[in-house]
Amino acid sequence: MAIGIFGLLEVMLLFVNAVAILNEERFLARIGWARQPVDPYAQESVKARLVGLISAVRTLMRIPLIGLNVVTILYLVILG
Amino acid sequence: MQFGRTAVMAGQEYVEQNLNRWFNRAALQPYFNVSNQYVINKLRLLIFPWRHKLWTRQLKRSETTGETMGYLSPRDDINAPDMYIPVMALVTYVLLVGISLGTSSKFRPDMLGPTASSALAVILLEFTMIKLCIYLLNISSEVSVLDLLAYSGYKFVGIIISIIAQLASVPSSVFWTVFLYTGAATGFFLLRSLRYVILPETSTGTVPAPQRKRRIHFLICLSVLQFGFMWLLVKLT
Repeated sequence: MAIGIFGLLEVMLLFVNAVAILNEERFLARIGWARQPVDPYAQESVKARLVGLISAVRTLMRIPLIGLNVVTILYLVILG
Repeated sequence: MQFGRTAVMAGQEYVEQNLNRWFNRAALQPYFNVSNQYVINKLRLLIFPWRHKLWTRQLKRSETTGETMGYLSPRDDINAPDMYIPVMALVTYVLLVGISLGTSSKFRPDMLGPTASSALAVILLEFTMIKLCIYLLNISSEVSVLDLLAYSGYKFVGIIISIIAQLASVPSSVFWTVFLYTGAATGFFLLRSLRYVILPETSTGTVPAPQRKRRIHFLICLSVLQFGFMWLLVKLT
């Protein structure tokens, strides 16, 4: 059952990958989780925060994720 | 001799510069500012938190103005989180796992590293979950990373007690009682300690009702999850 730090980091990387490849128009708009214009005075619900988090991950993390994935793949290939 | 002293000082500066990139020593310093009395009282609180009444952390007031300087250090305030007990408990846990493997003749020295790594992974997982829920529930508290890590690390005290019960080869019912009791004590301790973080009673108005219910649910789920985490870590032996 022992996972370890690198196992956990790999799992988190895979989750972030999964969030980053969600397509805006084919999937998120269909289920009503499309990116919404930010209203600074609205008391935000959990769903609004979640949608904001997903769109932030998709906007900001796509390029760093490429680097992180390359590093992880090299690490796993070289060190098994 | 002058040259030697210059070289030593240059080396010290280099080490400190590189270490400060990872460690932020000034932020860690207050967490280790503990006294013997604090440690004893805190351990007693972790094992028996039911009768303790006041759980709020006290604010440190400066001499001239009001409450400007943050919280009191653990030496002066029993409710302040510290990092001494979690770090010591983590090391003790790793050693106890080694002992427990030794009693069943399965000990190898290279199992200590992965055990420590698994324990740290559980802490990291719990920290990530708490941070995510704080973001999603729109809780605007300024609880620091080290505070959350300290609260996560307190469960190792209960885990140590359960492992000792296991090592003493008590019957299975006694072990389960000890495990459930320490799990409940840790859960209750966390519930009371994090209540003022999650439901701040500041002057910016109280939290509206549906949000309040959600936050209380989050707290209760967190306390119940302590059982799960402790079970994961006890099962490693």
